[in-house]
Amino acid sequence: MTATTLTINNATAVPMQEVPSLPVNDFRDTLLELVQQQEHRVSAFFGLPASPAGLGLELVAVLNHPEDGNCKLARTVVKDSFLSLTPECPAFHWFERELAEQYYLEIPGHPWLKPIRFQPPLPGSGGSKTTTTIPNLTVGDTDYFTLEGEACHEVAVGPVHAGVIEPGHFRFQCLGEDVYSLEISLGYQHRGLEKMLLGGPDRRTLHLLATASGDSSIASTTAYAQLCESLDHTLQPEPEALLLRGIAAELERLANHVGDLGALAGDVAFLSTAAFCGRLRGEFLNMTAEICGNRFGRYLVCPGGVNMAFTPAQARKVLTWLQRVMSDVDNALELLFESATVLDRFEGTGTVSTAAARELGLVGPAARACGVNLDLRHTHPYGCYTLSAPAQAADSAGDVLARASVRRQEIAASAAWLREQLAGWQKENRRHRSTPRLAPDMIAVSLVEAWRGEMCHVAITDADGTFRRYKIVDPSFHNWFGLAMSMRGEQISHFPICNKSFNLSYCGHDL
Amino acid sequence: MLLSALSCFILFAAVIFLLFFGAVWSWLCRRQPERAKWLGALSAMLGCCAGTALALPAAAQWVPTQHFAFLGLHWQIDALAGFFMLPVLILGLAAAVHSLGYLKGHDEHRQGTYWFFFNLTLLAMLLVCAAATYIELLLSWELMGIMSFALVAFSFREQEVRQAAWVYLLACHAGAVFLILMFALSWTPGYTGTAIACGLLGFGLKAGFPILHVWLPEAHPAAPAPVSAIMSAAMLNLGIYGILRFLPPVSFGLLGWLLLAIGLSGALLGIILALAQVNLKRLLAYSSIENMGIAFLGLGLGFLGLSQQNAAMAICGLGGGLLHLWNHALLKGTLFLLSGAVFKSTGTLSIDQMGGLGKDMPISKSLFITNAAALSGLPPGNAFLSEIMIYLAAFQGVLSGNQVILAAAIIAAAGLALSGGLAAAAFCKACAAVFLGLPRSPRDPEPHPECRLMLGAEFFLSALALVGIIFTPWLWESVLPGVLQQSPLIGSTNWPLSAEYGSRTLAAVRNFSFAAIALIAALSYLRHRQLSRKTLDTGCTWDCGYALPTARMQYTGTAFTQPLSDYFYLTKGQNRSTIPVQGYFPQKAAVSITVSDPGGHLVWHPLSRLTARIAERLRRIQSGFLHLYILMILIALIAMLIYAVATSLPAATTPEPLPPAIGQMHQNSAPLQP
Amino acid sequence: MPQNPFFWWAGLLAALLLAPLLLGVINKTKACFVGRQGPSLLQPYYNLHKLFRRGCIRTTVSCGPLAWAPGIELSALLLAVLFLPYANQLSPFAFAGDAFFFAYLLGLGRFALIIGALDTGSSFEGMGASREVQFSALTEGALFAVIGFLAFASRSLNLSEMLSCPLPSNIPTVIAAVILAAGIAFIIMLVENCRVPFDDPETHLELTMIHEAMILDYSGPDLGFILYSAALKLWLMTALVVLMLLPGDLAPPGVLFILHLLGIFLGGVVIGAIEAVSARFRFLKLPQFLLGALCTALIALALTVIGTGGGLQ
Repeated sequence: MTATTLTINNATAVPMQEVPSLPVNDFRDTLLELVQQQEHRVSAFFGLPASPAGLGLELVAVLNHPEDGNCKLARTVVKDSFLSLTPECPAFHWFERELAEQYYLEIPGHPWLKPIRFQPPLPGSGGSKTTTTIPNLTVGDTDYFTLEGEACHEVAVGPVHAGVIEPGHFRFQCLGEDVYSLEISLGYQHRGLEKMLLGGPDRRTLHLLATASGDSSIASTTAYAQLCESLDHTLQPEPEALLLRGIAAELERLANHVGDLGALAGDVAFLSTAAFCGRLRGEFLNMTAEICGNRFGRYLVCPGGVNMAFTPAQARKVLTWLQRVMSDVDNALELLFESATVLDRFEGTGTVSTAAARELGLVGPAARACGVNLDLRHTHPYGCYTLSAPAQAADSAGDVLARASVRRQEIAASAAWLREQLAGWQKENRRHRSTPRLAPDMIAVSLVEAWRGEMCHVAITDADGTFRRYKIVDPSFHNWFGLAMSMRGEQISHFPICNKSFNLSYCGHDL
Repeated sequence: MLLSALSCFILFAAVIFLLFFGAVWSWLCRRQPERAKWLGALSAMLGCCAGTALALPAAAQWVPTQHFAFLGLHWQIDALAGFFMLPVLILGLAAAVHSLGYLKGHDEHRQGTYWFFFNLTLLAMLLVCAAATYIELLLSWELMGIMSFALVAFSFREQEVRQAAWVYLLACHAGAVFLILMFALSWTPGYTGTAIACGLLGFGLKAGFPILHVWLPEAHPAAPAPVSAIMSAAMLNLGIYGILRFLPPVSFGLLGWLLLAIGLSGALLGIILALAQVNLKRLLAYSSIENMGIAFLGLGLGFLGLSQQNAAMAICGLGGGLLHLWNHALLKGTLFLLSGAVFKSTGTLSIDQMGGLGKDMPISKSLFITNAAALSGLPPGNAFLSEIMIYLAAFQGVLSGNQVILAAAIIAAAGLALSGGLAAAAFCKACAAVFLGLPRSPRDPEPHPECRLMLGAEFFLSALALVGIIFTPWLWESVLPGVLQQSPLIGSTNWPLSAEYGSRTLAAVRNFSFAAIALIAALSYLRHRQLSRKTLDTGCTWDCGYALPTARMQYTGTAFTQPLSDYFYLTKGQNRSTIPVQGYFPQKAAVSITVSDPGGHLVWHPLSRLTARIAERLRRIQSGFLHLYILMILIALIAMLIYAVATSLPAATTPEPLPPAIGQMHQNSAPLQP
Repeated sequence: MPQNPFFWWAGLLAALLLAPLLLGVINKTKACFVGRQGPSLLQPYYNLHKLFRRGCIRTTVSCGPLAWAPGIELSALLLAVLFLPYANQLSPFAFAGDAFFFAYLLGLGRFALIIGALDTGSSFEGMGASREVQFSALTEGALFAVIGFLAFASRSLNLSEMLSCPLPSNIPTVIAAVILAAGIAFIIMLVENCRVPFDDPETHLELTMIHEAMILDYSGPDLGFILYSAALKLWLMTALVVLMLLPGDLAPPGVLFILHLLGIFLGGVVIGAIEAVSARFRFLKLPQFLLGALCTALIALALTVIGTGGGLQ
């Protein structure tokens, strides 16, 4: 029996020819077998125009398994229709909706084939233009699932929200305070990022990726840098550079987790933690700025290393700074987690079951809070995490409290790891800057544990060594549907804390 | 004196003749609907006007009590009768005018039938008030039941209407049976307690006591709107009238406690159930149960006051209760008439399908909202005047020093406050779901102009409610004590009721109410002037910037009260049936809510199931063999013989009193009458 | 008890003029508690001034009540201010039963605001209004139990005498009951004025709002009317609690006037402190909480009855 998939390590590249191209039916069977029987995760599932133009659409799937520590690749070529995997395997549903929208691919059998971004099709989309799946491009205009019965009503929130947050449309099917279902419609932030990345890398590629999701800038640029490094063997970052990337990534994690816990406190009107955490998040951002001059760590990571030098003196400064800030963080969080009124609000609210988390393929703290052990820093170690990684957080309740407490554990773990690394920072690293020259006709996969969870970047180069396809799968892409599930049968007044406990990225999803 | 007696008699005869011959003539002309309509309506209106001329002086005690012998029966019109006749007459007049508009395009060819029963119902209700003794009461009570049954069943082509009319007929007859029992037993020594219980059950069936109320929310939505208005606003009162006039003498304390318990549970049960309804008229019907409960609460406090020799508590409770009946009659009458106009315009009574009617029917909208606010007991409405009197009665109880009374009074006050809050919630729901927002279901794009006749009737009642605020202090001082004295239950006290207490409060509330109206007008004028100099812009309701808002994105009536009615388990559990949202990608899901009446499903349905089961068992006896039947007769005879011998009282097997005996009885008991 | 009508009128004037300041005090306290500078004490006045100068945007869905509601609410509150005994001086407008009139006037304002909110046909306003009727209806019982307690303790049916009479301070259970009842009144005040832990006046989340959601579609002078009414209501209810605790025979009227003002601002500080340290409750738990309040009020009454042996002369 010939291999149906190709197994590669994280952050490596292989020639595209080596990935077995299967007939459509074998491709489907392989994916179903791997995901259903062997508990693989779907990291990416996307299309690109098949190599000689006009052949149709090439579908590529990237699966990974937490325990094997590697990725499996498979591909197939379809003409203009692909029988949906979603009924058997819900983890594919969002990817298939994306495919239908990006390439006008017909996906018969998909139960909810609706636009996810309301984006115009990508170049090279074959397919018949008459397809009915994309009726028009008014963002938010789709046929929502509706609850029948004259007593029922809808609550439509967004795209403009009262807080200073990103735009997204939430459609609740309610009877009074009881929510029966929530459907989320995004796409307001769509900028055409994947289209702009085609033909790269060039001078703007790094900038585009640094702003793919502004609060995960370091994770996103790290994923890009790892891809380039695997596709261009001249780029070999030194260990200090890798460690600095890790330090920056953990600072990013700390800033966002602290900020989110503060916002969560704010949503239940617990003023003290809200105010403290709002300030403390700024401290972590300022530490990042101390390292690279930008509070969000933009342009710190670049292919081949890092863009900034970090001196031992700076490391000592950041270390003492961190010690001071962390004691404040501990106080603020203790206040939050010891307040009975707060725990009462968090506990049992917005529960996602472990089974649902697995089947839908949730990632990051949201998955870890449901008892799913996923942490790429441990399962698919990359960069500096091959040497040591912050302890993995876990909970199993799947409610808002579990998600909050996972974040609290991660704050403690990251801070401890940071203290260790900063204390051991002995010599200044080298700055590095060069434009990568990529190998032709390759496929490379890079998985990074962003603060929201697994971030997967896949690059496929053409004969000239430029990007034929650059696929970004933000962690939010996996998790938005989890948020929708957490509101089933919940009280509508609990939506804000459910939403904040996930705190997903709109622009990371919309690209 | 003689002149007034003569004119009263002439008026009385005129009322009877106008209503009776109007009814009959209208029936005879039923093949010519147009003529039948005008005959029926005009005779009803003239009859009501003549009746008002008779009842108003009687109620206001400008003329002494009048006794008539008419048709071989005895009739009597005193202050109490006049007081209860007035709502019938006023509502009759308004409903007759309203019917002219309501019946347009609604079974038009059956106008003759409608007016026949309409006029006879009015007549029967007036006769109930005028009945001097038991026999007249029973006759007119039965007439009222049957005539109004025909009106309830007017749209008999709908299954629900037939069902409702059947329940109503049963309730009427059960009530009549209890009343006959009461009269029979009150004559028998040693059975006074049972007689009182029967009396309370019989009259309570009409007045919507809790648990006995189940016919009410069925019959009111089924009847045409003007009929519902009369039934809810005037006919329910007659149950209270019956208690005040015909209940056998009973100690104040007992009656007070009973009425207090009934009133409190009725007020809370009624309004909690009203809260969860989606049928507009059903909601109003439950609110009637609540308001009857409030009146009973007042009366109960009043009787407790009498038992405590607490004059202030007595007058505030009794007076407040009676006053509340009038206020409720005017406001609820208007609301029922408006519900008719809404039904005519939308063709449905389900408020979850309505919405946005306020733009098509601006006048109806304003009338509905103001009447609903007033009926929730909010100042400056007139129902607040009666509610504050009931509160005063309760708080007199709090201050009375008797700890049991104190506990009851404080619970009554808190319960009344709670029911007030819930009433506001229920009426907010009704107003908003019907008139405000956007239409929830597609409607005839052609707006129907509001019918002038219907508006006229509604305006008439609303205006009377407003005028009522002005005259309430006068009513309190000069009319109510006399009215109350006429009740044999109350009149037997030795000390006179004084209405001194409370009249200052009423006057103050009246003045402040008008101050509130003036202040609202002044502030609105100020605001208008301020805004007339500024830029005024219109836009859509805040929709979070979404491109395509729809009418589904607004609260429905059910959703509005869902948290509260869930709290009382009315829209939860069995009452909420769902096709659940299943799987990650649900295709179809639905929720529907049917609010079952706890009186029905906790008491009557088990009772009827039990009866059916017993009957099922007993059916075995009916084997069809003649021998067995003969054997049974034999056994029964032997059993009776043994019983007779054992008790050694052969007279114990005397059959129950025959109908003539009742006539006998009432004459015997006539001296009991004051 | 010496009476000086001048101080009552001064108290009325203070209520009308200083009500927004109380909001300022609350916000300042909250800011201090979490280590911020916070907005100026006079910020509520600036806001009102700004709103009254502005024009208005009206939704096309409205069929009228939206425009009437602010005026009705303000009228109801302007009448309600007449019945409190400021500085423990009897109100010249008092009559037997004015406590009920007072409570029902607040109800009128609420009814108008709810109808106005539902006039917009928005799910947010519907949600806010639905919560408002729920909690206010359940509060009514407790409010009337407190009034019952006051009536019993003062043997009077008008609010002025209820709140200003000297309580029999020699009976310890009565003192305990007064404090208990004042506590319930304080909770009622928090519910009626939509403060934490029942509602969060600062939140920007439409889905969790009560009062703020109801007024989403108001702007300009209309919003100004509503905000001023809300401030006045807060002042009134706080004054009610303060006057319950302030014995009428403590000091001469002038001193009492100062004391009651101080008490009200102290109440603002307490509200601010509670908002700084407590999270808000789940909506589903509030009804139980409110019925608990009703029972506590009844206990207060029972304590008084027992403490005074049933009669209090």
